[in-house]
Amino acid sequence: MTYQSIAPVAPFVPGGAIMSAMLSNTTAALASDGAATQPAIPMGGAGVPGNTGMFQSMQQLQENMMSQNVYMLGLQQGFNDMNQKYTAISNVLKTKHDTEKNAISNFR
Amino acid sequence: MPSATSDNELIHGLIDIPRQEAIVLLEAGYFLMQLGKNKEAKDIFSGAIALFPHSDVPCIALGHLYLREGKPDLAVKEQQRALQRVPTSATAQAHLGEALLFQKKIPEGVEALHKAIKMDPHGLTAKLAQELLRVNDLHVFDAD
Repeated sequence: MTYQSIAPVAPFVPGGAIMSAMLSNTTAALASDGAATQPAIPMGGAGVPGNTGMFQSMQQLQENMMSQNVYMLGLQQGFNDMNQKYTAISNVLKTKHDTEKNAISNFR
Repeated sequence: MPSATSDNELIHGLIDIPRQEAIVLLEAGYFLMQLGKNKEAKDIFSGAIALFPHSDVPCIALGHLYLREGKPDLAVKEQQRALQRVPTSATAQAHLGEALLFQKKIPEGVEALHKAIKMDPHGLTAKLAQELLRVNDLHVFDAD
């Protein structure tokens, strides 16, 4: 299966436009190297006829990307929380130092 | 720059000591604590507690050392002793709040910190208490 067979359905698949553009460039590059007669990129895996395999691949890719995005967002949130805690603790340590320094210098 | 009068001022404790020397003694204790020489620092602070029975400052310092060593129970006792000596000491009150938070006695710690803010609303102690309350709001103390 080549890019030409995927292009008509690209607008109906989420993220398909990007994939379509990417595959278009790849095909063009291969064509310029004289490899245009060969299938550009196998889609859908072996033994899966028609567009079904391609849809499944795209869906799986999208699910992977989504789960990675969720993971990254969680990670970012975790880092933000940690940063907030470190800043607050750092402020406490600084103020504590100032307080004790002040207490000693006012020692009577 | 301290005046000549304050340089010559005496601290009346177990024995009379020039104020500047007493300050240097306490600063030496903090310095040793920062260097990780906790035993030496403890000796200095314990000596200062005996030497200046009227003062809250050495008790606060020793409480700080205990907290640093991960002994909040002993830190609470020292801060309570500081408050017995000087009941109006906002610094001791704030440090007591901190030690209570480390003991995971969160409501008592928060109450002690609010009390410290009331005792010295515009001073450094209030700032310390507010910062500690902010840290507590981030659930740092109640985490396992």
